[in-house]
Amino acid sequence: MELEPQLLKACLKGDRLAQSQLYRRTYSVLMGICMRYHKQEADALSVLNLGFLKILKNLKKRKPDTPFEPWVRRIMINTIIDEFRKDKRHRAHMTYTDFDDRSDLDDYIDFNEADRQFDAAAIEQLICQLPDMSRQVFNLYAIDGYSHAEIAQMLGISVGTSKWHVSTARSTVKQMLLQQLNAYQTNQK
Amino acid sequence: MKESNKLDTFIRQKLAEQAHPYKEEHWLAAEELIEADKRNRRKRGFLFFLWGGFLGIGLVLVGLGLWGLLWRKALDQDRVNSSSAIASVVPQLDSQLVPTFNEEMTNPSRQVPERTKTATQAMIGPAQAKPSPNSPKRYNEGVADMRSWIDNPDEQQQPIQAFMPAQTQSKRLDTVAINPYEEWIEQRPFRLSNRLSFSSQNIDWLDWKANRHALAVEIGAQWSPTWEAQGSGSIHPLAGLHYRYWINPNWRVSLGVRYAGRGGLSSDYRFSDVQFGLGRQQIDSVFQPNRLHRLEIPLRIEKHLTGRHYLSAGIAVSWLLETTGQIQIIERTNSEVVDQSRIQTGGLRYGFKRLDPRLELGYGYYVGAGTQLKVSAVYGLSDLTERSFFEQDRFDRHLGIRLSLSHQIGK
Repeated sequence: MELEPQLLKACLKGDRLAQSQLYRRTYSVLMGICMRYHKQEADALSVLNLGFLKILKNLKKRKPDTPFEPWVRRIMINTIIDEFRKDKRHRAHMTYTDFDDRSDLDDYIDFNEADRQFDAAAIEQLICQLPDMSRQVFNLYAIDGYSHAEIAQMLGISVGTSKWHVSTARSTVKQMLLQQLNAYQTNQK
Repeated sequence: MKESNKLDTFIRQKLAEQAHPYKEEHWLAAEELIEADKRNRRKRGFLFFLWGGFLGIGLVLVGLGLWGLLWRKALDQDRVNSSSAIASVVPQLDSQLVPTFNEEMTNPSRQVPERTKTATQAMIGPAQAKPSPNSPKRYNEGVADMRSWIDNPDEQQQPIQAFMPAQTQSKRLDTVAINPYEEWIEQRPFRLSNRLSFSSQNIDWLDWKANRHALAVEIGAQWSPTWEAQGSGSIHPLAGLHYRYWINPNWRVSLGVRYAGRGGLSSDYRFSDVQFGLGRQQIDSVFQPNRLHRLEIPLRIEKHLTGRHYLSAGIAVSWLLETTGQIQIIERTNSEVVDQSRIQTGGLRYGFKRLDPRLELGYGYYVGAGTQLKVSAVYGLSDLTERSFFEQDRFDRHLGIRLSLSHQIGK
């Protein structure tokens, strides 16, 4: 995502048209992130707009040499986590320590076949079916590249709990992929 | 590559292909949010200005009070110094300048000797002394007194003190009488009490020794919006009971207990109940507090500028008793996509930080015997550390203006 410096300058000055352009240009990336973390589009939109507001507010603090897309992604994820932390229902979760990642199950997935059968929207739907906490942790770890330590700090959980959520999410996603692949192959026969 | 890593890579690659088409209505919602934020920033700017103004006025008043206090102390010190100096000079004046009655009586002309030196001139020299404008007048009065003494034979053995200024004859070391700056000191134009119509001498309820220990009841209202929360700027009641202790006629400390309502925090509070049965049902409850009921323990120190005006500064710890607000309950099911919302009022205390600090700066005015009207600026913090990722949102700051009326009920 390359943006003209003039556009950012105009956004800094509060030019509404420029802000609209920035929103349009970043919409797909930011909405993609939000939809991964939220099941409902309304929730995703709410947090998207909050994140965009934070981007506008922090625009003047951004260093010119910082790549724009990673920067907005980071702000968006922080906003999502911020909203997630406000949601106290996620506080009642168990703490696991010294968890051994046993997600390499024996079930084999043919990823070439899966690549043919699943489009991006289907994968997004699969992730959305994960439990809330597992979905957040899996998104942060597997897709957005945060470490378990970072996730533990961000979400206020232990490292072991973070690992457990990732492992559980992987197992669930794998099971769902296999089920749908088997169903497809059965239909083909 | 491990199976788990392959899965992660596969998901990452797939999601990277996902494109979300732009929707204009989403921008309209974002624009509305940006406008609301702009309005809030203006409001915050106004509140900051208001708070800054209050603080500035408070500091100026405190500065003036301190300046007056220090100036007065300096003048008192001058008086003490001049008193000591004069005390050493006056005996010499007695022997050198003031003739005895017998000496005077032996003078055939019975004329008053030429005496132009005042005590101050004798002390610091004629070149530097500033003669009091009262000196000639008092001298003449002294002459008149001398005449009356001469006519009274019972006092003939007394030394003639009539040659001294009128007030020094009865109280020789009274520096007020011979201080050349006396009138200027008493009429100093910068003294606040001289500019105001009330004098503390006429206000009997400020008999601080008699009222050293006192209780006072307080009622009032406060307007205390927070930095972030919209709609938190409504007016809330307050009531309290305070114990007051006068340290001296100018300073007083006060310790009290007070109920005070406050606007809601910027953060709402969400919790949800998910049930899996025939389909999935999720009930989200979003609690938005409208009023926080708090118990405060304020500790203040108050400086009385004059009989009726005083300033106060203090701290308070504030304890959350209960909250009232709006609960929005949203029911979502897999079978029914439509969200069902209903709104009801209720209270929720769980999840809030209950102990908050606050600062108070106030100006008070005595409107009647024991009754005071007070305007205070209040600044407080609520810790939202558990809720916020961004540094600037860690504390929910609020500031307010409080108007209260207190009445002394016992001493």
